[in-house]
Amino acid sequence: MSNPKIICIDDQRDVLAALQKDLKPFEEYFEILLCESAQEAEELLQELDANGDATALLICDHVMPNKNGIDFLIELKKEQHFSAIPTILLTGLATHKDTIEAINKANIDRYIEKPWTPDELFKNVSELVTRSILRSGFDYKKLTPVLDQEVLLKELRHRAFDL
Amino acid sequence: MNTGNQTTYPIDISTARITWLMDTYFSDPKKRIELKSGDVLLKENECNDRLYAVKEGVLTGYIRTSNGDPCETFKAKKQALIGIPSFFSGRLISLSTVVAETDAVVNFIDRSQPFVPDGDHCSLAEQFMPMIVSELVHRQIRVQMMAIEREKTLKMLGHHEKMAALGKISAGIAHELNNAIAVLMRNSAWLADRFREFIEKEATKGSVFFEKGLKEGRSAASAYVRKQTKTLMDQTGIPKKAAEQVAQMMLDQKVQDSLIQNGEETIAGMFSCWDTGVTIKDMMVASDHAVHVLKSMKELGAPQTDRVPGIDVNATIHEALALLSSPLRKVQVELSLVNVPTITAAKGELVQTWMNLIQNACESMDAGNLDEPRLAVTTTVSGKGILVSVRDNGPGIPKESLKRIFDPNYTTKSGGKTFGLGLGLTIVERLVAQYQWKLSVTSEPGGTEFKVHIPVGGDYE
Repeated sequence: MSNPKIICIDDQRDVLAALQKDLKPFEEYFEILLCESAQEAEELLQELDANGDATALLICDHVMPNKNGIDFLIELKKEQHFSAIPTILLTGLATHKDTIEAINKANIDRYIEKPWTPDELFKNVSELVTRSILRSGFDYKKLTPVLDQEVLLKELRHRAFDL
Repeated sequence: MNTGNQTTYPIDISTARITWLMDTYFSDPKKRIELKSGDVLLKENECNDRLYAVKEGVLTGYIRTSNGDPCETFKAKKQALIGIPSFFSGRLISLSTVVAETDAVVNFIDRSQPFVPDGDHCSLAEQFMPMIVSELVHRQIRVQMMAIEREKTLKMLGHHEKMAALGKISAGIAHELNNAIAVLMRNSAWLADRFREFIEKEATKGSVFFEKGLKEGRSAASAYVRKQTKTLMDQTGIPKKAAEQVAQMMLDQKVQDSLIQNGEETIAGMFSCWDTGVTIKDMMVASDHAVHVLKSMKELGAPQTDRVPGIDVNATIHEALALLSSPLRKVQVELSLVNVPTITAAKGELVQTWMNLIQNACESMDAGNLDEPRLAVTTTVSGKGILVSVRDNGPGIPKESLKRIFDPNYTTKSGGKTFGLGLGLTIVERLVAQYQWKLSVTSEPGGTEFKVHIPVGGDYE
């Protein structure tokens, strides 16, 4: 099975490139995929789903032409196949109202303001992919260098109780 | 209410009655005054014990506002009565200053005027009652309209103040950031030079890849890279990472084939040089973008430039088109400019207004990927003034967005190729508001039209 995917969505190519650079620590264990629009991301998600590939995380910008990030994430939550994918809203501009919508309707997992710091990005990505990996039953042992220890322990503890 | 040559009253008064009053009380040649245009009949707050009727011409009533400016309160044409409030109230002090707008003739009666019986009424006041009531109604209507106008003006002022405040804050921020941007820009360029020297000395083969990246930037779309990666993997058997790197660089076929032959490690090395070039290019583009944004912000806060009379709107349109000749190269421009009266305005502000509208049109058509982008700029003249229209055949603005396009933060532009944070239309709106002109927009897929209406003549110059 191929590596789980981390999908980045932003209409600006240079931002995607910068994001990819900061996601380098995850490159060994995840496939970083870049999309320049919500539509492109939708098509990609359908493709991955058809191939049986797993998506561990979605990092999405908000202000984009045609469909904006929050609307895209709200729609995603309605689709059974994709609603469980954790999401990070990474944005330079979102009004108070937009943010409330993102939290309430799109159920985003994290909100990061641009410009981001690499440490902040790493921590949030790590926490979310750790949880995502464990919940999808993926073999996590190989990924430990980039997994978040606290989340790992918490998830394993929950697992133990379920048994 | 004044329509045409004759005064019409807001309540119904028979022509017979008016004619009788005119003939009976206002036909004495000894009580006739001839006025030349500009003559003052009555002065505000001065004694007046006469009731005047307009026989010929037009007179205008004014009051002075708190800062001394005259404010027109009424226009009196033929058969209108002037002085009703002061005459019939016994107050005998004129409420307005009355000036002959054209050459005019008025007749008057004074307090010594004897009552002329008509078989119906018992006193002069009774005979004039309908006219008195009509005058009161008239004034009431005027007060209501003034109240509405005041509301509109207050709202507009509030809006103005907000825009002015926004402008001032923006200008301040822009000023602060300019230094930081300058540092970024200069240092990026310096970095490029240092790296160029280094790579020419240490890894000459990488030079050409570095320069390509630095010059062209990231030209490969993410979707293309994904597809091309698969193709390369199938065609050449190189591993995914190497294929992705080659795909991103978008090399000429020969260069690409040669590079692939050299294997994974060389590909990674050359890619690294390319990536460095592209990254520095990204920095320079970003700084450039920031500069343009700051420039727009500064313009938003700029103080009002001097307005002079005799400005030709058509000339300003020509100038705007000339300044945008580069983005307009691919666009078919249809100009239809009629002779327009000159106006009082600041030339630079007009040019900027048209530039922002035209630029907006270009960007919209660009985004729509039109085969035949067309821009139509027309001026027309009507009784009300000059109408300037800027029309494009782009994809249009969706209805929900129409209200927001003038918001300072609203932009649908992407890719860093076009600059500005959506302030273009905001600036247009601000300028139009300052001149008290009217701006309107209609849009549907296939056509968007912005119209600026410039009132000309009478009180507006």
